[in-house]
Amino acid sequence: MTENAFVAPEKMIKNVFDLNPWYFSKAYEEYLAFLHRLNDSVIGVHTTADLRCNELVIDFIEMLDGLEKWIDEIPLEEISEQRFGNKAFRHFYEKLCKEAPELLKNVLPSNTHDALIELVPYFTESFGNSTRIDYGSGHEANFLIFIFCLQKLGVFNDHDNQVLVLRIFNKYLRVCRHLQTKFKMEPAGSRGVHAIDDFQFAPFIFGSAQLIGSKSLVPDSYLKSTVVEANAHISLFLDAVNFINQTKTGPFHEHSNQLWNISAVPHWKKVNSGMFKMYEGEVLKKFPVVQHLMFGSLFSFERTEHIKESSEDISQISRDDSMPPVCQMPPRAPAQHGMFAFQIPAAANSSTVRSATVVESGDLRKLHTEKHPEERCPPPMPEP
Amino acid sequence: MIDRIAENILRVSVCDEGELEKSTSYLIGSRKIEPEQWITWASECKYLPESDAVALCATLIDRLSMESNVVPVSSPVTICGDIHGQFYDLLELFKTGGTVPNTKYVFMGDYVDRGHYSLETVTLLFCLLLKYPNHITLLRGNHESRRISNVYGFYDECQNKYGHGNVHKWFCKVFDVLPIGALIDDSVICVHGGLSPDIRTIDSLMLLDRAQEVPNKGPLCDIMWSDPDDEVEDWVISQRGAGFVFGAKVTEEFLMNNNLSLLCRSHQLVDEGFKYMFKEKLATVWSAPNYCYRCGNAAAVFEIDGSNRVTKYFNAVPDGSREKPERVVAPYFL
Repeated sequence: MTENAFVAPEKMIKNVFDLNPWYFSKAYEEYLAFLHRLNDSVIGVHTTADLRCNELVIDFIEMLDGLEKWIDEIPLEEISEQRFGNKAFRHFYEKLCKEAPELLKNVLPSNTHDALIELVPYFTESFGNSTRIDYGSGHEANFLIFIFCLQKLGVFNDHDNQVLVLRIFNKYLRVCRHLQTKFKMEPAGSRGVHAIDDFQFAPFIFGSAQLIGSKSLVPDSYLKSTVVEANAHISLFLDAVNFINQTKTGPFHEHSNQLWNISAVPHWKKVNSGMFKMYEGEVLKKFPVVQHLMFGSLFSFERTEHIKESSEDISQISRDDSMPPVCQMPPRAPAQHGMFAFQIPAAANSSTVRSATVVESGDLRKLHTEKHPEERCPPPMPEP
Repeated sequence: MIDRIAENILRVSVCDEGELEKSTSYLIGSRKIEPEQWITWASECKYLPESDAVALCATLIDRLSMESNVVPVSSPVTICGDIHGQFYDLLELFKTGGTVPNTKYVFMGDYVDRGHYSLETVTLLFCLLLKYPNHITLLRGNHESRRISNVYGFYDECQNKYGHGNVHKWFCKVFDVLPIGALIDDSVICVHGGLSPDIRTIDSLMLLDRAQEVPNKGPLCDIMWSDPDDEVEDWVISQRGAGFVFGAKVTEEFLMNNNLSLLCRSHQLVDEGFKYMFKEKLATVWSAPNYCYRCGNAAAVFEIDGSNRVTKYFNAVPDGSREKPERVVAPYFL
């Protein structure tokens, strides 16, 4: 890392064609490795475990506590004036943007103050969007990127990983849930029943790691709301499910269809590794989410120097005849088939270059035949 | 398995009494088109066999590609907003608004994605459109596109339920030719999202080439993506990543230029299900109650009869005991 090269982070992913550079960026590689380090540090560790927190961590948590107090202090605006989310959230956000540099300055060691220009945007983006009054996994990612940057600056080291997840990130979750419920924030671009949760993702990753090796709880147990309630304090996963049970209505298998399906997975280790794959496929590779990500010198859009493991894997596998052919799916291919990765449909491709043009005649049928001469209109049906 | 309450929920009829007894089935080539049978299945939250679904889509494409971009509709008519795959709430909507063809409907798009029953929802609406083309109008929403429905759930659902993506492909071909606007009594314009800075008149809306995937910029995109805002005067780029945020001034200009009284749209969650903005020049209708099972919002349909306007509200149906599906683990966890 070069010294004193801090810049205000900028959005770099402007269209679907920028996804590939993102996938091969230093940011992608380092961020994922960072998540894996955090994840591995909490395997089998309960949220309530006795952890040593240094002063910096305590200050940090107090700062987040302060934010939570603001939430209590800000009065809601007249309900009849609101479309859905309460516009009072904008007061919170204004205050956050105004005071964030000062808040962070008070907490962080003075040798990192040069980096504030880069850190502040990630921090303020972590708490939702003020125009749309919504919150989603992209905002959550911003907070993790913020922590990632701090670790890169040396503010936290790898010994702090447990504390980062179980204390600081956990505290951040409380603040966000408080915001979500008080200001009725909308789920930002949620995939509804096809997503693991409308708002969060990371607690399901870290929380499933915490449950690895649990003697009494298997994935199937979280379908029982009483079990979840009784054990919410031991794992971020169960805590998140508990929050879902408290806030959602309707049958669980409908509103949290993904969680319902995942409960059939035999053990937590499998759930945990699946969560990582899903996080990549559903968050990091989805254009609607990552188009909002910002890049600077710490979270860098530069191309990684390392050769991608996926291409390595393919060559290795093809050389190794003992491997069954099913394994040839590279673990981190940029565009996997089907539902689990970003796909650019052919039609979408063409529409990026051709915007809707005004035509002289409204005869669509004729136009369609002209455009697709090989296709009869309506297109021929396949024979049964 | 299914108890009595659930049976009652399943028995909500979407058509007037006796309508489904008269068969209007016919043959196209070797394919049998059976509107009544299909509606019966679809209103029980079932989806069609693949060949029937394809036949349904092909017939609709044939018919819809002859329609103009903005279809004229005469009142009385009931206008509905986003459904997002909430099938049982759609049945509740028909209970609230009345059955077809006695009640004439305009749906303003976003039938699929997010909810649990996108396929069943869009199947039911398409079957009704097949049988009652003059009593139901389906507009295109921003989710009726490949780019969006691949990401937000409809594709996954088709993949899971049919085992492949062919039916999704056919549905998307129908989406391509759905009209983008409805003009009620030459006085109320209905679109999914809102206005576009490139569109000043209804005539220019008529001239767009709509038979394509929703582009990510340009007028066709804006119509389905834009949002109104009180704090904006004319046009601001939308943070959604497509479309614009537009204000009262441009809305009034548009209505005046086209001699209209109201712009009706959906596209945004509204807590009460219905909200006027810009001094009753713009109305947002939302028809997905308790959106995403968590928002706790009410839903509404908006009835227009000449100069008479009535909003009818409804809430999410109680769970009953809908059938619990088998757990299917996503490939991530295999």
